Amino acid sequence: MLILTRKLGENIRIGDKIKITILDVKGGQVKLGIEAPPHIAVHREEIYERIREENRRATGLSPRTLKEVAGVFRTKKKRGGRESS
Amino acid sequence: MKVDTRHWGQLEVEDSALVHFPDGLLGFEDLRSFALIDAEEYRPFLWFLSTEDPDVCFAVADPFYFTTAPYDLTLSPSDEDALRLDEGDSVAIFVIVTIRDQGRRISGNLKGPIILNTRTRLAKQNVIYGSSFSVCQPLLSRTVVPFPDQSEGTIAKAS
Repeated sequence: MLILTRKLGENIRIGDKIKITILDVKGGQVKLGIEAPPHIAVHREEIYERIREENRRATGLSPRTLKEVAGVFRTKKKRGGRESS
Repeated sequence: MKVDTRHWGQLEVEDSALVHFPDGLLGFEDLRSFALIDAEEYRPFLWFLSTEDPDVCFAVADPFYFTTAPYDLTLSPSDEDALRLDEGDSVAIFVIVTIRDQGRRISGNLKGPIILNTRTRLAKQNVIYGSSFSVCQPLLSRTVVPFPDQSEGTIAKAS
């Protein structure tokens, strides 16, 4: 891992198109400004972790449960979606 | 092709049902090949079954069941490359469905939709921007159905 030390307001360049600026450092938090072309996806790591977890959880679904849910779903649609709130 | 599955044993799957994820899926980065199964008894849900790991399958649905908000899925040039998307191609959008509490809580992952080029059968899971969508967005309350063990006429709360 490349480790760089930067001061407030300083930048890091990744390639020609990506620029990261240190905007604020306060109480153990660092605020970063990221300029990148639209085809570069920039997300907090936690988002990937949550999607990874949710994907794994989704594979625990049993066909029986889905069949039951789907069945009730279709019955409801057939009734014309009568509903209350 | 023949696909081994934990739930259904060995299935014969048409080549036209196969979907390739060049980058895999988050949590299943090593799995590339899935079969998309649309079976009557599970509609409106569909199944993605891994053709490589019999233990991996999940259900998907149309995002429409989870949101009425504009669902902006602008594809970047690198997405278009990954899907080999040409002018005139159409994409199908699916959200992965999670069912908790024996069917009482149904949610869709709107934050990480699956985008499929229906011509090339290439797909990827994108991560979309904005805080308005969640990885476990509840089924819309007006489409939520009472589960069998609940009294007739009540609407299951989605959250």
